Amino acid sequence: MKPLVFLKKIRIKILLGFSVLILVLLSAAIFSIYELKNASKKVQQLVDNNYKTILACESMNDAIEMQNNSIIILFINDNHTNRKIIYKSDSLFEASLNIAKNNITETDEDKYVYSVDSCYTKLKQLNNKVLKSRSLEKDSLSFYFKETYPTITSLKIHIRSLSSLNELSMYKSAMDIKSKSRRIAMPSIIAVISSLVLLILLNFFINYYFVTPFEKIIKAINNISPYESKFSAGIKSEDEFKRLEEAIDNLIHRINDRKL
Amino acid sequence: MRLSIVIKHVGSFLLINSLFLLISSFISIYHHEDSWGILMFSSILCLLLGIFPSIFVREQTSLNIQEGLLIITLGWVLACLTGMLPFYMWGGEFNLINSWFESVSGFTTTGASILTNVEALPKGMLFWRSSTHFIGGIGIIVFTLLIIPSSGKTKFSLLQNEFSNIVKTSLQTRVKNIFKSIVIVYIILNALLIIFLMFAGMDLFDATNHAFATIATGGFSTKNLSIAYYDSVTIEVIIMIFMLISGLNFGLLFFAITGMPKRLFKSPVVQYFLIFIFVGILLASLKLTLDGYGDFWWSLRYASFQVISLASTTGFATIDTPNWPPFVILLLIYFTIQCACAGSTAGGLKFDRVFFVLKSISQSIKLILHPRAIIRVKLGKQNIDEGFQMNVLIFTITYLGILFISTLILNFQSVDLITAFSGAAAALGNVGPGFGGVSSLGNYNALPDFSKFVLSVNMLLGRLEIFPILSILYFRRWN
Repeated sequence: MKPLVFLKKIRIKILLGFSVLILVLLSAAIFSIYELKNASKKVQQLVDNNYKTILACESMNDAIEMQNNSIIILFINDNHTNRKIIYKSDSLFEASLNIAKNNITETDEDKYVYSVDSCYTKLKQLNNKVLKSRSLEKDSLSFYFKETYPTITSLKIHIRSLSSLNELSMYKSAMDIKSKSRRIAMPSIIAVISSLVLLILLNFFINYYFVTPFEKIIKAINNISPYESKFSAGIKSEDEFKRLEEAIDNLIHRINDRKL
Repeated sequence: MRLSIVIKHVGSFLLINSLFLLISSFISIYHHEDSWGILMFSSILCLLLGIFPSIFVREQTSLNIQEGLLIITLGWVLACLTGMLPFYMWGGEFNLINSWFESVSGFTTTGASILTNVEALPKGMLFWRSSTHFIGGIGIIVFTLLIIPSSGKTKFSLLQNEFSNIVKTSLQTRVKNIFKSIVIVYIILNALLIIFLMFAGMDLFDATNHAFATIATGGFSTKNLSIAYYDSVTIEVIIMIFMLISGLNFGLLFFAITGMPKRLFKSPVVQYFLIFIFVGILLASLKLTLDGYGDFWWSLRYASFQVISLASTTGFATIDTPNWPPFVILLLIYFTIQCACAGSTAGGLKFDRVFFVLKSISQSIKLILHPRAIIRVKLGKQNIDEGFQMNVLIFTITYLGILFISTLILNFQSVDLITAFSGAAAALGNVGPGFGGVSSLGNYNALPDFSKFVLSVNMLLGRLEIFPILSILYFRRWN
């Protein structure tokens, strides 16, 4: 394989050498930016996909708690305020459930949301029965412990499962972001190390291929004797140094010709 | 010593890495994986670092032996260093030492892994992992010498180290033809194995990865359970046949493929290698049957796979062996030390040396009985000179010495004896799995970091036949 013609010029060689150096740094920068963008996307996803649902689950739990407390208080003292709280907590639960329904991002998450939904529908029916009964007597209390309470417990378990699914996914995303942050930093570190190696090599090559020929030519010029017909510094390359050697050789020829 | 020439040749190794990293990156892109960027960046970096010296250094027609030695050693180390970049950047189980260990294990075709969950890696990364076997198997030196036109003298000096000296005596072909034949045989075997494995039920990705690992006698699998995952006798038989083939001299395989199979089977080294394996399988199967591990066919199935896997230095597994009888474990450790034939993709001691040592013992006994007789060690009809015999003995002693020292170092770090010895032997022999804590279905993750480093040095020593690396220590005397 013959060397490329343009590689015979020193300035092209130096330009290419520095270009490689720049390309190493540039590729590291591009890759780091890409990974950084990816990581920020992941953070956004983490908030959008999981954190919203986790908050909705918390709201659902609060709503159930409010409903449950109001139902129990209702047995002691049936007043309008309690009934108002129950209706308010119901709308809070429905709103939170809607957030969860519109934010299904994980595998099988729809099944979890459906379980919560169906369990709450059942609870609502039971609560309605209590609310519609004209007198809240002892029978109603036993109805609560037999029907309502187990349904609330079951609903809480379903909400917990939905929340756990999103928490787990959030943990995985967080770990992913952690490894991504490593990937953001690594190319820069590697590029810096590579650039240092390349700079050392560049220094070596400049010394070997550019400084040494200069020294050879200077030494040959210093050692040249009067009336010497041929000038040779022992340059083996075909670049500007060879041309300089040839130019000096021509110059000596011309000086010798004039002297004659 | 022309350092600029050495740098240029070493740099060209990175171009091969760059190509395979690019392919791995495309695989990642195809599978919509996150790893594509890491692989692409590593590929660009290797390309730039690889072409950098070529800008300045002029073409050279020949290399001397010192330059050749330095190119080999630095080339392998640099290939391993750049090969670890994707692993290290990926993170997870890959910390600095683990990435280095995995990369060295890949390029030296050892196949020892630190991964506890291989299947968690993206496909692009898995392909790169197997590619290190492919590159290592064929020998980066062979690749480079085919790409860079140099004189025959150069090729010869590198061949001496890339392949055992023994190759020259068992295969009298021109050096140029050896390189070509190795590449042709290597590619044909890989292609054939991919086709056979796909027929046996593997998908293209798994078949390609397992073919790379089998023909290079590596052992990296894309499954946590290695070949045991498939639980298929057909796949096991196909892989066994190809492991056995890959453990033979590739030059002789070339003759076999081109219609001269007699040359392969007439080789005394090949004959004895096959006999040793046959006896090993028979003894292991009998012991397993007698000890009630299973019926004879069960024992034959698993024992034959394990014996061939270790004797060929591949290191695939169909069963976890630590619970096997000590007799069988010792037998398998013997095969771990013995390794495969010279001129194959296997590293380590090589069966040829074991064969010569046995012949030398026989010669010594005969000389004791007949002190005035002139008895020479023969390979077939060829007499082996004493200098060569001495080289084999020195190498064998050095090899065993390194095995002993590395076992001691591992023991010093509180690694138990069986794990330390079998792990050191498996690393030095480029086999992969050992016994105890580093058994066939286990991994090297739990070992202390320094032990992992020692084992990675063992792998490089085993792959580069010890002396090229040791000769670096005499660098001052080179001038």
